[in-house]
Amino acid sequence: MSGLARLLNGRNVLPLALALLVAFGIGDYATEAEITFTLLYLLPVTLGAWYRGRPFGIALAVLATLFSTATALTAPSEATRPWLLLWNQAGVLVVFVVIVLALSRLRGYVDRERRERSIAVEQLRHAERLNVIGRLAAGVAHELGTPLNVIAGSTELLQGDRIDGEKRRALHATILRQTERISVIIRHLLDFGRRAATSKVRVDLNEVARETATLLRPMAMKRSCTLSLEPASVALFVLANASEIEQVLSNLVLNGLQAMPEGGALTVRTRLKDRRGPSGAHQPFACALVEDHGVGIAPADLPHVFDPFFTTKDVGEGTGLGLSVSYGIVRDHEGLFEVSNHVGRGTTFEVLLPLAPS
Amino acid sequence: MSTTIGENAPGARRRPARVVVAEDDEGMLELVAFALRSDGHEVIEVTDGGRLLVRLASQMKTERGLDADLIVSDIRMPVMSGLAMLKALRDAHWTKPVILMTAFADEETRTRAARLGAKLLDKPFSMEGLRAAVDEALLPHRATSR
Repeated sequence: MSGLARLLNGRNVLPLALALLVAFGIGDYATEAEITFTLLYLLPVTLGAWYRGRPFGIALAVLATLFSTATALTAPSEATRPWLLLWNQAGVLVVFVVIVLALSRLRGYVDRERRERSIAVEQLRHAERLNVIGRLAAGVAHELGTPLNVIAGSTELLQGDRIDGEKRRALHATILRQTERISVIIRHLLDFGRRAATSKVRVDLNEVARETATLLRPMAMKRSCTLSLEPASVALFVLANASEIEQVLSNLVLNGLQAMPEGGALTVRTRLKDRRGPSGAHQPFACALVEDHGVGIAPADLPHVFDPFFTTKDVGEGTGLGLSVSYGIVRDHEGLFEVSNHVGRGTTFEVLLPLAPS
Repeated sequence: MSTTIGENAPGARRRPARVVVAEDDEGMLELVAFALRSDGHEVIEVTDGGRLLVRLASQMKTERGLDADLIVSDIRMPVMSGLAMLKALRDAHWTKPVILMTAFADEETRTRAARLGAKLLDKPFSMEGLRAAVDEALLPHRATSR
């Protein structure tokens, strides 16, 4: 069925509809099974109307009526009553046109719904992105607070005391270093908050994982967690929207941190993996996994982790959208999610993306 | 009036003390150490509560005992938090003053710190505030010792 659906599109349907019309016309002429073929003509007409729109559908309807009229005229039984034949054919044409109009209208409705749905999904993703930023904000506020404190303190020392040139230079250098540190933090946050570009480009998954780890490491440390990065030894090029994938990984890392309230080790690892793809054939995947040693997921909850609005977190801690949005992003990349879970010992979420053709 | 000038000069008012500063943030550690050194204190820098304990514990075995007059420590540090470190020190009957620096002082932290006899210094703090806290912490100790 999906093979047939793939075959039918705006481009293919033009020769197909014409070929069907001609074939049915010949069949009509040869067999004189008039009614059967009048109904069969509906097939190319409806296909044309659905895939190519109203004008094309009406053109096909007219063509089909002409075929049907022409073959009927050659039939001896009909030739004696031409007015009845014309009346019949007019009726056929009206029915065809009405069907074409109804179908093209339905098609317009379906298209609009589809468009609105994709806009809604995009907005949802952006909202979830902002939510992740909100969760980052507390960590970032502290991250900015410390260098700001150091800058203010250094300035105070420069103002207040009689200090010699060398110490003065050292304090100036400290201030400069701290402002650079603030710039880096802000740049990371801005990169993350930018509305995701819609295009997919060739990126190294190792780099995306590195970016994520850099952004979240300070936050992990403040929660007494270590965040280590173990990149693959080879480049893992995927065709992806880097900021969307970063969003997915950040979400997994934040979940991992929340699963370890007492602190612990969290690992972001990338590697090459062979898996059966959506088409059923084995293919190489670029894989990024986030492994925590937290409380794990209760077996009863496991089937629901990707459901929208499903959350075991307290009010205000999570919307229950993070993983479902991540799932949508990964599916858009023709990728897979794999979860391995050990209650009380931790959870590993694995994102697999098809390798980009080299 | 001449005494006022003398008081503001580094090291004149304050008797030099040995201060251990524990802070995981390199910039902050550097700044606090710098400020205390310019006041004439001897500063030992450590980047974590755990390291501080190891360092002090190794000194404890020596004849001189714990050789620090004051500890200035961050609370949130990667390996061992300031509060856990302080608890361990108090358990080892270390009674000298401790100042805990923190940007996350909730009620629980405040009560725990108070119970363990530490003074809280809220981040962000000014150098003036840091010096005042250090001076104040060193005063009663100097009054009671000897």
